[in-house]
Amino acid sequence: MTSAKQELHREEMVINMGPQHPSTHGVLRAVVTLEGETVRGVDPVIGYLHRCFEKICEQKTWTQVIPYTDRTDYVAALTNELAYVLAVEKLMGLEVPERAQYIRVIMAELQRIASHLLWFGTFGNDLGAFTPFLYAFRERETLIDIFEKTTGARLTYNYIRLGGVRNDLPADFERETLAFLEKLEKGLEEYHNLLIGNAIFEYRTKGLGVLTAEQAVAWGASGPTLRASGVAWDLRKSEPYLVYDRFDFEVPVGQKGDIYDRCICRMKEMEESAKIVRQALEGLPEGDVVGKVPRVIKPPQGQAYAAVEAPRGELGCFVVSDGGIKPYRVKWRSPCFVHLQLLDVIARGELVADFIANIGSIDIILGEVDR
Amino acid sequence: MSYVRNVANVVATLLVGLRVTLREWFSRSITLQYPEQRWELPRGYRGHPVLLSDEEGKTKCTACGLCVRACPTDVITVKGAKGEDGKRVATEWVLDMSRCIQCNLCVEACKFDALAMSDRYELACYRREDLLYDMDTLLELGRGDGVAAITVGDKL
Ligand code: SF4
Ligand code: SF4
Repeated sequence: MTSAKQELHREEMVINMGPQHPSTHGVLRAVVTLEGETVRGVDPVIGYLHRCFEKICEQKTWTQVIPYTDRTDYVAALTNELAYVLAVEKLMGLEVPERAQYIRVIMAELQRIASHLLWFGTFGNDLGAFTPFLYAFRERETLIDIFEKTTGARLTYNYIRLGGVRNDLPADFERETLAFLEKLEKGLEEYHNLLIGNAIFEYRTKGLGVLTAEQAVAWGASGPTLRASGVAWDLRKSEPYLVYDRFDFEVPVGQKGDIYDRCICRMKEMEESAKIVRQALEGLPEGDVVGKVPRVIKPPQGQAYAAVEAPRGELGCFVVSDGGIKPYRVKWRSPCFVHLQLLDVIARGELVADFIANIGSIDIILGEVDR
Repeated sequence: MSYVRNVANVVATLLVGLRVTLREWFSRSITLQYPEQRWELPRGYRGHPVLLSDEEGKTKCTACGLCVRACPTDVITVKGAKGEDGKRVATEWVLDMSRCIQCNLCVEACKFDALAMSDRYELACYRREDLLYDMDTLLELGRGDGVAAITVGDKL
């Protein structure tokens, strides 16, 4: 047989996935090069949700920027506010009362849980398991109700203010939060039974989408995506802000850096966040929730950078002031933007069916990528 | 053989999942039959700003313009004139609800207790012009239930 020696005709195919694909978490277009079923390259195309966030900030007063930050990473709005406010406070040298710092920690950690719950639900969905979505949203709903009571809104909270937070916690906040944490504990067990421990889930996530520690560091990954690769880097521990150094919690790390490890890291992080919230509620001091803030906010000339450990990674905010009532420049360092570039690294050489799992595993929010 | 075992394993784990489904089947339903049933909104829910009135039913707004300057989306229009007693009062107060982001900053800016947030959330309408709320509408809404003014430093 001579034909066997002849090379088979091979051709790479370029397809567009998105921007209106249900699994791309927003409007992401990925230009995927395929060879048969195998992914040979990924080129994410971004910008569909671009709203000129950074430019708009230059047109608003320092306080007016806060509600806009809510709209970058819209499933973790409180953390965004925190990053911006911390940067401006650093610039102005504002004192924040201790109670406000504790409240900020509590809210940021609850926000992390809410965000991870949403990730868990949608990730199950990505893998074809719809039920976990409903379960995760059941728990998240309780949490959103707590946020609603405290801040007055369900998604765009506009709660953290320069020098503190807007208002004190409602009377039954502690009871409700503790009840939620108990519910979450049960919920997490259920999630493990329902999805994480499921054999299909393991087949679809273990050993896939591997990101080595060197790659993760080289690409500037952060958050659970980095820690799943075995690098124990968490801003709450390594560069503590607010009062995080007073709490006792672990930083979960993975070993292999595959999709499974990233999932487990996030699941464990929820437990750790619950621990922090419990401790913070216990040690919550009395006092004011806003410090002394000048009536007209005019930070002195200069610049400041503040970074917080957002649910998705290091969320940084860089502000420049020219001494006026409006920021001269606001720069947003979003973890999702960095992680999106990892797609090519982790999905190359794998099957196109696992591509969706890969997108889900780095937990991107396009509102934050494009902003 | 290992293939068969794999399949059996998958079926077994699926059944574990279905046990949960069955349990939920017999537990109490939490669905709310909107619009017949409605949920209770917490005090301070941010629907949209409304105007508060004094005992005589007149607006407390002095047309000072602080809220106009505080609003990030520029949706408030206020005009004022000197009243009979010589004090300034608002004669026109228009909120363009099509662009309001319900951020509460105007309420926090007002020094005359003239503004509050209503918990109205059914804001849909047929014409865009209907989204311009004038002073009378806002005063009327401000007299209703579920109105609260929460400003910086408040206890809930
Ligand atoms: S709630 Fe915010 S956007 Fe709406 S009118 Fe008040 S300040 Fe403006
Ligand atoms: S800040 Fe208050 S008093 Fe001043 S214009 Fe606005 S509503 Fe009227």
